[in-house]
Amino acid sequence: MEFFGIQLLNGLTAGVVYAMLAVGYSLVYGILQQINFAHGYVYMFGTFTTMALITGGAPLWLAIVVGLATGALIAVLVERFAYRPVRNNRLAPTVTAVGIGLVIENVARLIWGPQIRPMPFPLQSEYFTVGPFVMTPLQIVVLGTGLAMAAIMGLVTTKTNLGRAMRAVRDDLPTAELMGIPVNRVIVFVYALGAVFGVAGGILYGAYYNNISVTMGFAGTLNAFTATVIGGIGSIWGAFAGGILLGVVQSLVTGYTDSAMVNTVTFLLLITFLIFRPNGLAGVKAVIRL
Amino acid sequence: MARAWRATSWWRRVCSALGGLSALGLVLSGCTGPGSNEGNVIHVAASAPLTGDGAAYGIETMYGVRLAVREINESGGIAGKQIKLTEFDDQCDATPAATVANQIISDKSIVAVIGNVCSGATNAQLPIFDRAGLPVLAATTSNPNLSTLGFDIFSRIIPNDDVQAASTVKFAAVLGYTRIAVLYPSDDYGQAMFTVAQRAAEEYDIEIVAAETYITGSTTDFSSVLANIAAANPQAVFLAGYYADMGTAVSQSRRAFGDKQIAFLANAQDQNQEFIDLAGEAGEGTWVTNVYDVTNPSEVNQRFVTAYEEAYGNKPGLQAAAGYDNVYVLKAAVEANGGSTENLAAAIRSVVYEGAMGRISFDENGDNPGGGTVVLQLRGGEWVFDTEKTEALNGL
Repeated sequence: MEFFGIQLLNGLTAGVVYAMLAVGYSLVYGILQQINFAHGYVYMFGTFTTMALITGGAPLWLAIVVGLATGALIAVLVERFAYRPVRNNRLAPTVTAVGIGLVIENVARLIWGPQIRPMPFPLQSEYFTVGPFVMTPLQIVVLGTGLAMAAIMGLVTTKTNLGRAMRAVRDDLPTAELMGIPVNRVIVFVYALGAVFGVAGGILYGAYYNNISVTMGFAGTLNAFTATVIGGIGSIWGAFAGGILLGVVQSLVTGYTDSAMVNTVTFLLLITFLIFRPNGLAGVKAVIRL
Repeated sequence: MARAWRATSWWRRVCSALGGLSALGLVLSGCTGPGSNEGNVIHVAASAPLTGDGAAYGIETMYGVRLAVREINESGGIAGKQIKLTEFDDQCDATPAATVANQIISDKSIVAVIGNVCSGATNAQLPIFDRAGLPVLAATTSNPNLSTLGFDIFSRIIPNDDVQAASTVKFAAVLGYTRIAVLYPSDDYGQAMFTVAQRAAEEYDIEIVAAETYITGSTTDFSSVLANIAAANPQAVFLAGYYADMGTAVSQSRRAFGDKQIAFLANAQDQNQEFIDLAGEAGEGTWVTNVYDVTNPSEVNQRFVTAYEEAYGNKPGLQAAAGYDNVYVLKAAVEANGGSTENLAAAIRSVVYEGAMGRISFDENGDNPGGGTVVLQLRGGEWVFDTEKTEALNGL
């Protein structure tokens, strides 16, 4: 039983990280029905910025804030120069996303090199025992941050004007525009917010696993994207649910069968959802553009 | 006839002209025979991972190779000919490696391939090189299977994994352990390491209580795997993977092991700075067995270390030493061959050379039978040579 508990805890922690990354995808897709392929590269760059500042001696809070801000800034620039000019085309934004993503990855490679790096973070080696369970304060941090950001997200979308504007744009962009909502500004905000979640996820990932590389954006994308689809692309709480589910499933598979099965099970899960419940856990209705 | 020519469309004329020129070009380029040297240059290709997970290995190997090439060229070259080195990035992966191999064999002036680091990548290259009859003198590809394929063109500087893994498990016996766990990657290298570990464990009466695998280059979350290992209560874990994965796994181990005292026995691939950086505090006390150490007091090695430090500003490791000895063994082979680069593969196998890595010689399969394992421990953020344990290991 305690073994199950340990693996469950591992899964929840991993799941929260996936969820943070997945939220970025869902946010953008929800508004614009577009998969933001550059998302992975943006959160990678933000995470590296934070790592560089930490290793350079900056205080932790500053490194995190600058990392988040950098991610948001890059996302905004990407939106302005790679997406907005081709927004009315269905296919072009996908292509420009991949292109700008490659540019970001290679700039990161030029700055920080191709090697895998550790991410120095407090509490990495600490642990404490609660009865038979061994836990680390870092797990509390990850879970806590995930919950806090989920709560903030929920509050913003339901209780603020900005949140209402976001939902309006998501429901019907042309009408929202006609109603006087500054659609371009809302879109920029959505991209920035997605990037902030992504970079937060990336920092937690780096802190918890102590392993980051300039290819982590692409590598993380596979799991994060699976989580997004399972949760229901376009739904934010779906992204959280999908991330947690994926993390727990992967952890239990490793614990009870073989870690080599993880990818197989992940994709089987994805396929099952696509066949039997394509709208995901959240049951998001597909929007048909006429 | 001229009238018929002018009557054909402009496009047809252009195509015909181009076709004729290409044919002429092909005929002319075919006139230079295969394997011909450009006079007084020995053209050598080096294939190693310069990007990706294995980049630290490949780049360091290349530093060793470049140093040796520079030294040899400055002192007159090989039998009067300068070495021309061309580097290729195989990314430690089979597909790019095969592409690189095809690029290499299409350059007829290349007479040998050196510097190979990753067994999986080189495995994909050997059939291609064999077809072209190009000798391969690999640096640190350690998968034992490479020398069982029957390729006469293949030799390698490093003693293979059977020897290395066996000595790590043997060392567990020296430390008095009877229960170990094995953490290995799911690729060719990892599977081979695990098989050898099983065999060696049997030989030294050690029980493997847990064997966990992961996907190298993809898995970064070792929490669940480590929890499995902790649940089996081993006395030590044999880290049978590459430095990036093993360092990451070790850094995540404290929270999985809790108060349990579980030692780490690493394989030679982990004896580098990157492992130390990634493993952090949790890496203190890790043991490693190796086929090379920079503190080896032999004259050849100390000369190499000094030259390397002068050139690059930091101390060399196994990869650099292998890359360095790689070129010198090639030089010895060409010299033994009377200065010629024909039938180089056979000449390479006949070489006995005292290098930075000790005595290097080759058996009938191209393997280095090995000349003495060394033991080190991670203390205070550094790998420290342990003379007592080294002697104990070689005396067992």
